[in-house]
Amino acid sequence: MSTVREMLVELTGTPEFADGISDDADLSASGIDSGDLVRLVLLIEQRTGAEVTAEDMDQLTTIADYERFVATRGGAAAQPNGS
Amino acid sequence: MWLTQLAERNRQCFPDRTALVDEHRSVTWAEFDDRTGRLARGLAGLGIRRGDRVAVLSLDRVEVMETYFALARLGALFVPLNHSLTPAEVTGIAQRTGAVAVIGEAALLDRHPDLPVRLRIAMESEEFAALGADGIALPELPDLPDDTPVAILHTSATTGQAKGVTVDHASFRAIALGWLAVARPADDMVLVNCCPLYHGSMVVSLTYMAAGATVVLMPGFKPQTALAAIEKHRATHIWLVPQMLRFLLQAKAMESTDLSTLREVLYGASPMPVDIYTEAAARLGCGFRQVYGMTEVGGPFVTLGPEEHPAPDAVPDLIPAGRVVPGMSARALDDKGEEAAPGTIGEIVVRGPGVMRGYWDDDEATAEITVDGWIRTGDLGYIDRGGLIHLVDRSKDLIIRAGQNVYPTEIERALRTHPAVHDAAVIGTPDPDYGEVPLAYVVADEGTGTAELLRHVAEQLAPYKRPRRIEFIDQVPRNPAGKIVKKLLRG
Repeated sequence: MSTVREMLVELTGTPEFADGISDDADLSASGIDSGDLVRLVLLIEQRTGAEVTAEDMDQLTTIADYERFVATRGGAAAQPNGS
Repeated sequence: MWLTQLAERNRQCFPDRTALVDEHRSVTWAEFDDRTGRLARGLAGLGIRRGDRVAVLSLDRVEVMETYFALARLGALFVPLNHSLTPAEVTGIAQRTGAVAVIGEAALLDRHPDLPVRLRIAMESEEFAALGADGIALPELPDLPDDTPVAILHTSATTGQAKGVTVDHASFRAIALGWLAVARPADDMVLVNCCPLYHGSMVVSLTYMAAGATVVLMPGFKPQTALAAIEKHRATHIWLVPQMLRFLLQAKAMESTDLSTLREVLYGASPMPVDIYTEAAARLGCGFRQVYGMTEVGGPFVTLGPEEHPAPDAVPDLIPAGRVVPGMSARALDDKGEEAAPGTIGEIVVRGPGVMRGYWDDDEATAEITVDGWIRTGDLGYIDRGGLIHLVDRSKDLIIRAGQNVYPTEIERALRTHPAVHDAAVIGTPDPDYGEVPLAYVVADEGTGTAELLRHVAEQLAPYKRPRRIEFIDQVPRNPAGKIVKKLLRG
């Protein structure tokens, strides 16, 4: 399971949602609670140490987008425990 | 015709001031007034008449307000739809209100191909843009009295069917003028609105528009976008629910964003946790204004201003809700239905010109919530000798999840429709991010899984109404009358 999918399982408390969505589906239109989408971005910031800007948000639509962001921006400042 | 007067007055006084901004465009008051007038005539040309109900299905954007104001000019009622509702929920609202048309974003309209309306208009379409364009013969707009119904705003209900709160122009006017009398608006306000315009809390934006403020609209709340909007538009005010404030504080952009223009954080729709207020007050250094409102009362009717908010290092366990705004009356009723003495807990009831005209096509529900002309809020609290209302509990079995009301009975009913479920009980459980979330206790056949039940309720309930957790138990505790004893579940 990908990093972002693991975060989704953590946030939603069940693998149901993360397992059922494809990499290129629009997350916001997939039935996820909008608050959980906000929490996903905050968790990515916490885990990677990278700041997600409003401009970044415009580019983050699918799981693949989020994975790319984590891969390209999260490496240097990764904080696996969220501390 | 309050909304029309509001736009006309602002056009006269501040024609070049920005009225509304979204991520695509902005309009001045002159443009807004002109566009809503033309749009109203264009809709009239399509057969929309006074008294018709028109559903609006969209994320927040300038066109939503244009549509609301255009329909108000026509004497038609706008019926905002929560875009997170399931197709069955949306169709139910359209049917119960008898909506003749739906105007919305194309992508959202596509999710509801079977809506029973005769007219569908996408806001991004050329058809919408061309409505009322120059050169088309257009009917005159009616001169409407203030008691003309203007909107049907929907709230959750114990029945599982959202109730339509019918409000008129007089309601919007009473709330706006009462609120602005105590909030004392300045002439240069820019309000970042984080709350959806389909929600009853949209009255807050209408109220600040009445003062000539610029309102910044966003297509859904994202902390990073909201922070950027404050900096970009040099916002003086922001309107949000406490859980959004928590998310703002957690975002890394908090550190790098210029928030020095902020004067007031308006918060409401759910209680403010002490830890969020303490951190926000210390880090933001601006004023805070509490918004206590209820859709049935017409919107925000009680406020606590910045001057009465506690210092960050001296926050009591319970921050008072505030004082009722001029033009509205509130009191606490004791168990006998009589006004409680100052300091004595009772149910808060409200009356005044802001209150709804009633639930749409539901006299029984209207009678239930009304006692001798007062609207029952379902909130328990007391009013002190200084007129401050202190809320302490709820008399209704209600979960407030990030500012959205969710009735446990609706979730219980959805769970019980699963063939393997024998009984279900739902309570609210504290959650740091959402304030409260639904927790379901279920009695079901052996082997029934959480995922299966969540999948089942997803067909009936919008995401924010779905249980956050499901626990399987042998028996739901009930009293001899068969009523669920929820305090036993709360431990």
